Amino acid sequence: MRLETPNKLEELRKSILEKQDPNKQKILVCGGTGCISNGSLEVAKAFEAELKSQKLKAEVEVKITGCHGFCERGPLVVFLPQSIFYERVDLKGVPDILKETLISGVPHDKYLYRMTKKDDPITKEEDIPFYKNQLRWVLRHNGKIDPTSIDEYIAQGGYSALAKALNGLSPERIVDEIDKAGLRGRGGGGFSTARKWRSVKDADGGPDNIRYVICNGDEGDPGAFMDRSLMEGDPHSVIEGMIIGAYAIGSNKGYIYVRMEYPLAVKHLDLAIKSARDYGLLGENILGSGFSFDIEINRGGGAFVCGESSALMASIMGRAGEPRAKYVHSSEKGLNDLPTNLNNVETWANVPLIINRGADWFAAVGTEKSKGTKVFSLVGSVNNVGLVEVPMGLSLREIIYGIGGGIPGGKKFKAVQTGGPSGGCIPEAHLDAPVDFDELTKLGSMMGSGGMIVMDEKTCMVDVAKYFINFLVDESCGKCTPCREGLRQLLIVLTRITEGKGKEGDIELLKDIGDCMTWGSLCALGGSASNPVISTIKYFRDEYEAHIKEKRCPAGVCQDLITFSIIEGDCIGCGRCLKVCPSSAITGENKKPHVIDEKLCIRCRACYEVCPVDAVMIE
Amino acid sequence: MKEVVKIELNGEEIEVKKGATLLSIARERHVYIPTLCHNDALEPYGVCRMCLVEIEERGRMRVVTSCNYPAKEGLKVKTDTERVVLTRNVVIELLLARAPENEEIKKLAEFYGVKGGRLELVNDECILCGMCVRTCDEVVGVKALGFANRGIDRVPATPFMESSETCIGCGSCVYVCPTGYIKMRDENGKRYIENWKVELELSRCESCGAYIAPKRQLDYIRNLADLPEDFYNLCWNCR
Repeated sequence: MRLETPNKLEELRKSILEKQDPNKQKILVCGGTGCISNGSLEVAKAFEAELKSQKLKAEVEVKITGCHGFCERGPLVVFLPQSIFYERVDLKGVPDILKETLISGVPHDKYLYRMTKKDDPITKEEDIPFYKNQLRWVLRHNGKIDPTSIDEYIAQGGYSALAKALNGLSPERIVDEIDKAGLRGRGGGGFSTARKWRSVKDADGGPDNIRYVICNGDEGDPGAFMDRSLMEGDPHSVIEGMIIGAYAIGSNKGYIYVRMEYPLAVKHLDLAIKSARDYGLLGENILGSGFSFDIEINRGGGAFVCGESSALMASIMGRAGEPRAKYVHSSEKGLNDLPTNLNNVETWANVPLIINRGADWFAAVGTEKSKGTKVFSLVGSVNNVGLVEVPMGLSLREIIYGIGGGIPGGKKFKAVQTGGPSGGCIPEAHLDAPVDFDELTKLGSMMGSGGMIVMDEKTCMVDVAKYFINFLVDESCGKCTPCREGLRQLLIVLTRITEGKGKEGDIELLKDIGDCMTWGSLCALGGSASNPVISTIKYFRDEYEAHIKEKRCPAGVCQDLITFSIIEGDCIGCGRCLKVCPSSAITGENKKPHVIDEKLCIRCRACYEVCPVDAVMIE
Repeated sequence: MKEVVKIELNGEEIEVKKGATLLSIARERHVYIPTLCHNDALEPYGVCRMCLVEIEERGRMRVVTSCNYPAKEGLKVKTDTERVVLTRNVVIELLLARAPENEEIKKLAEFYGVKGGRLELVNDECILCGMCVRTCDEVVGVKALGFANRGIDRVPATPFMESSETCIGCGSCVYVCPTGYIKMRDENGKRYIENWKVELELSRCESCGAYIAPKRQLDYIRNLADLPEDFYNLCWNCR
């Protein structure tokens, strides 16, 4: 059914809403990739089967939604309208959860959220600290609607921003509104979205006046899944943003570049594009406005560097995904040498919000130069791992402790790395810094696309730098000298430092190579690739020096620099370490202190992990 | 007539053609900027990063490659700032570790006072300037070469590293290679380019019997150019 006018869209919305009963009992099962891998789809099936056997199928709707964000506790299940939140739901629990929630009317205690096992349960989703302290604008539909149904998106007010734009806002006015909102690119650079749109709009589109819009969904940072969750959980908001942007800059053709490793995102986007076409929201003469626009999905092979805009465009054109020097901007000569506007998934998803609610509403949240919200994937050594959306300007401390629930096991915080593998590590002294584009850059890190990796005191910062450089060595395209040879040499130097073979002058050498990469690399990947090294030297220089001068790893991580021993007075002689030791380095009689033979010890940490009384010491 | 813009080069205000590369402007004025991946016959590539200069544009300082940066009104260009010197010297140091025996790089290192010894040697003759790949594509038009692998494993190669079916054995890649990495030899009526696993039969002069060029190369030219048949059958001397 094609919607010929904006009014027809409104009529459709009304008819969908009329059919919906807001009080109907719903069971929302998280269908994000994290929960699916924890078995959420089987849980959903079990609910269906149980409802059938209880003859409740007609009264209760089971819905598989996009990612709820609290991945640590998956599979997640929410009962509406009661808003009861269940965590780690397994097949075993399904019958009891159903019986108690729906028949007895009391939430099933066992699967309710508890901060720790000792804490009292929290019943409602909105009362859980993880959710309570967030501001979910971009993620507003994630976890609420079925992402495979365009009707559900429309029922939530979907495509009304598009109708508003086509039915009375001039392209110029739309760009102005985005400008006034102060929207900056969420993919990492933080460039003004309006300024980018304007330069593409004003660029020469050649004899056929062609311009392209691209959605960058190549998210490749280890531990980052903001864009994936959006594309999986609310694909229409991304598509609606793209159509509005295309109308504003005068483009008729768009691409969504998604990495191959995101099959569910591709599936949901594909479905969303097809259903938007069926309604005439994509294709010729959208909503009778005379404006035509369509979107094609392009699947990337999973190269990290393809998230870089010029490499991404090369990849769409069928060439090797390598960046080019961008002294002529993509906004003038991008895809097929024509003006091209590339924005990140999250940036696009912000557009309908701004058009619907207005620039003033949007700009009221955030800091002076960073407006709105930002989605982060909070991972690493933090209690509540998951996807969080917060207003710009919230402090790192509020994110890590307020939402993330702090560091597990009572350990001390050490650093947080923001911005993906080429971001920097920020120490405790700067935990109160407000998170926005400019503050993070000032601290030697970056917003990046929104990865946030928390590290505790048991993390060796030299080892962390080595880990990220190792990742980047694999992912650099190898085209320019500083990035390719610089990363290679950084890894060599870092490896020797962690092996206790560091030399006097290695820190200066690392800095020289790092500076050369920052100034001299061809693209932003190389330009930022030395950040993990430079920032750890800046904030944790003493750790580097301990490795080089004293041949010691203060965090007890680097295998060549540590020894394991058992504290005699603490050992209870339980024999657990003796059983797990793969090299038979531990001896001792039952209930008497055990000993580790340093010569046989292969420093695998197995004894350290199993000791019930923390009697294994690493030095 | 092309548009003229005013720029500043090392403090001196000059008028130049808009869009001309900073490298060409500097060279016209005898300001030395080193290059390794640049050749006037090829499109600027900007990967060796030897030709870095620092520019100031609308109050923003940046280090850019002069080989492909176009002149714009009001641009201030400096060729030897602290940042440029540090970056260039480390690039030389990195290349010196990669190809320690290369004469060109040894010369550059000596000229700029860069000493080796801090870095682990890689001992790879190829410095990945891409001159071979680009010449085969842009000048010869055969496109027999490309790059294989990524990052530190990147190498110029034929598709799937197999014996090239399109290489005409013209030797242009050998000619442009600044490091002697590409090896070519003519032996017993055949031309060998080991890097591309190519073995091509050489054509003989109908008059004196000397070898002229690979048959495949002559066929390639025959298809492109309208030359008398003698050109293909006779050697330089007998033509």
